[in-house]
Amino acid sequence: VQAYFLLAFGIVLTRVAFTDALLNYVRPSTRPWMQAAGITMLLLGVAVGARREWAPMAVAEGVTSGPAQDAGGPRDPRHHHPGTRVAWLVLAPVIAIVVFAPPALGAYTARRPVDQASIVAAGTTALHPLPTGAGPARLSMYDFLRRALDDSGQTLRGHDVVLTGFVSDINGHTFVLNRLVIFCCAADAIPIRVRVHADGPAPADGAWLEVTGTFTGIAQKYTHTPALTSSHLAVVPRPSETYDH
Amino acid sequence: VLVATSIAFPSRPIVVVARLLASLTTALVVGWLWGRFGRSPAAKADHHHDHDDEPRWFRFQSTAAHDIVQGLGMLVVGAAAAATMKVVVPRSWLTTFSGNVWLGIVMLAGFAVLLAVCSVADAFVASSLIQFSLTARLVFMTVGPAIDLKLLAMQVGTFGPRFALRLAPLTLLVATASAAMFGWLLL
Repeated sequence: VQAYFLLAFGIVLTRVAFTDALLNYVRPSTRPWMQAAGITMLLLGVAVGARREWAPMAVAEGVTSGPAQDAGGPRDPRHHHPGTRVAWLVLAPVIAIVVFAPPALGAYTARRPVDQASIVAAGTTALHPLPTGAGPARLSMYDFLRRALDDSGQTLRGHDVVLTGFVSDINGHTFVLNRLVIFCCAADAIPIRVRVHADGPAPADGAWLEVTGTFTGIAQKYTHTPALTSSHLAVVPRPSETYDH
Repeated sequence: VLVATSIAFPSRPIVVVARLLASLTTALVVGWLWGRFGRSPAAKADHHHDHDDEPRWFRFQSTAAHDIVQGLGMLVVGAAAAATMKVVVPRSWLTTFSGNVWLGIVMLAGFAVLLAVCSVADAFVASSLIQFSLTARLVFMTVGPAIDLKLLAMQVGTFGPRFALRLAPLTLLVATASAAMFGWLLL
């Protein structure tokens, strides 16, 4: 049976590792490792399966050996080691991926805000000045947050920036733009939130937006949420790299 | 892990040193204690040797297949437990005992086990727990990679429940004590 578990897991892992689905779960930089792991499991599954499950000899021996041997005698090539039952759980993630392909984390996780000053330990590396006169600068939410909390947002003064994230907490002309940041995998996702003020029609809850605007200060002292006054909103499709990192 | 730690605590590079020393001490002390007083887990591993008639390469394959499948199954148990904790335990609980140094240490040691954050990311989680003393956060970073729910599940899978139920509490105690000591000395 082990061969089948390995094959099932290997197929699913390889498929995830070679597609955008990978980005829903881990950092893109882990891709080569995931691919190598998936392929290794596939090969191992085939090798073990060929010897244990599908080889004519294995089947013949399984038939001729009595029930006592089948119960796990060392000579039975298909014998089961003790405690193999837990191996059935390998099928849980396999079934989850095949049946409903868990999507990337989103609004639910973003609803558990944290003190954002803790996400960016200010002053980690020097912040480069943003280019001047080249139109609005495209920043990751993480980069924006770092700049906003460093030295009262000096590097953001006088610049237009473009941020990408999804909408929540719409309240009149303000809403919150969210992006989840991961350091390792989706299990450690932390929401980055920016309060956006925008005149004009409010966007839809949960919509992905590109927000162009300028930094205006810290909107929420306790959670260190930066504020942005927006001059332009554009609805965009959900990016394949859902997370910041 | 140490690089991630230094990024998470840029203003306190001593945290990196403290983490290295506390973790290393934990590994050494647990290893020494187990070597001296513990029983070897070899009994559980013995059954691998009944493939003696197979060529080595085949035996390697069988062992690898068995260990991977077994480990994965246990990992599923551990991951499910950690995920449940993450969703069920409100973050506000985290701050409950932050005022008291000793309770903070116990609290974060417990959370390190329950939350099972991976060792690359836990420094960032720790740096965000600003209500707690630096020592308590060092405990969090030392205990987590040494013993947490998913590691416990994998130990049960590899060495059997009786072995794991002795090794895990020992690791927890030693890691907590070691981190508390280095936190007190260095931070």
